[in-house]
Amino acid sequence: MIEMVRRFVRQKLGSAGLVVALAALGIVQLLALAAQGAAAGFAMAGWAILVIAAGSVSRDVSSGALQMILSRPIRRTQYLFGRYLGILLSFGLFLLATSALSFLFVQLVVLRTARGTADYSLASLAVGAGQAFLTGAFQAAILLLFSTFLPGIADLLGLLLVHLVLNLPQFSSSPWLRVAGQRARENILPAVEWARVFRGHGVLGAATGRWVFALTVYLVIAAIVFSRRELPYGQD
Amino acid sequence: MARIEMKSATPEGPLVPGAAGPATARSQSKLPSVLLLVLIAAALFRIVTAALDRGTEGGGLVRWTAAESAGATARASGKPILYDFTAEWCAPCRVLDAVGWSDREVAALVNSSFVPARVVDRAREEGKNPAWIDELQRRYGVGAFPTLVIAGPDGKSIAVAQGFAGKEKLVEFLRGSREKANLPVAPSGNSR
Repeated sequence: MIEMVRRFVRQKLGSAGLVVALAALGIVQLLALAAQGAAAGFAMAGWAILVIAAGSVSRDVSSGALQMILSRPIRRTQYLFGRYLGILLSFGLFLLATSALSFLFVQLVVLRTARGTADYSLASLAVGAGQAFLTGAFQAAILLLFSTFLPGIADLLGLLLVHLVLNLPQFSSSPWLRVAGQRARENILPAVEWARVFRGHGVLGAATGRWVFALTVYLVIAAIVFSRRELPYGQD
Repeated sequence: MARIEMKSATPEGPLVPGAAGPATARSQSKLPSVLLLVLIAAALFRIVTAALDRGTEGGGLVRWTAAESAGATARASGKPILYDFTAEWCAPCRVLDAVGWSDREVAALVNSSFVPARVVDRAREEGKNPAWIDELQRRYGVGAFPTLVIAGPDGKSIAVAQGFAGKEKLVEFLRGSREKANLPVAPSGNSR
């Protein structure tokens, strides 16, 4: 599996377009953090995870690389979870690099030239990055699931559709539909206030339980779908 | 652990790229049993956390909503929010849990007519509260525990009650606030 993780990271780092896109997102994120401190949040991380995780399996399928990989003694689940861990590692590196550079930039430039009133503490930055990482890990699991059976980067459309369908009921005039939508969102796209969890509140809360369960379900379904799929050679 | 992929020709055709006939890699229907175990563990965690949340963050028979999402739930359902500002060290709060929130009539009224949310003060235990709790306490002028606040889906305060003076007064307060919000009290037993 480590081999699969390494392969994923190598593959992503080898793509110039992807590196440029991540660098651009990183710079925007860095500037936002430098201007507003940890309060700026990690909005760009939401885009970065889409860039990193999109088409993670489907591209290997369409290029025929997957079939070559699977000709070795490796389980499909090992390949799949290797990809997922690769996504997490790449995303973690993006967040680490952005946070570290922002912190250094603030210490060396912002705080020396102006009196910053924003929260530039390392702890707040780490909490924000941790929150972004876990949110990204969840989105990546959904993308991975869609990538096991949708071609190209259609997994992005799948993710968009899930968000759209689950958010539409809140604009409905029917209270029942709005409540049903709220319940569905809580279970399918559970939101956890990670900053609070990191401080020790609600670690064993219902929201955390829903998040862990939903994430596991997505990954297990992805494994089932991917393991049962007949893979064509080199068709795009 | 590792399983070698079948590489021999299938009835549909050979597995070698470029060879004649439809080439497909065969599926692996057998999944590692560890996946099943992980899924079961996650499901158990989901059940336990749901039960723990109800046991500690919510008292009695009331189905408490997370305070952070109460606003969104209230806007979705059109029901007013019932905030129960409480603290672990507060003795009257425990009486409210045992006599008020554990009573079937009270719980049915709360569950059917309000979006109930508990806000547990942690200032004594941890020196300070998370910012969102401070903000809620400031907004509704909470200075003692327990304090019950009925707020509209827009967050505007409708009624406030401090302390706990028995089940009858509690029911009176809840029904009164519901009427004040110009919303009829749903029949007892109706769930949200």
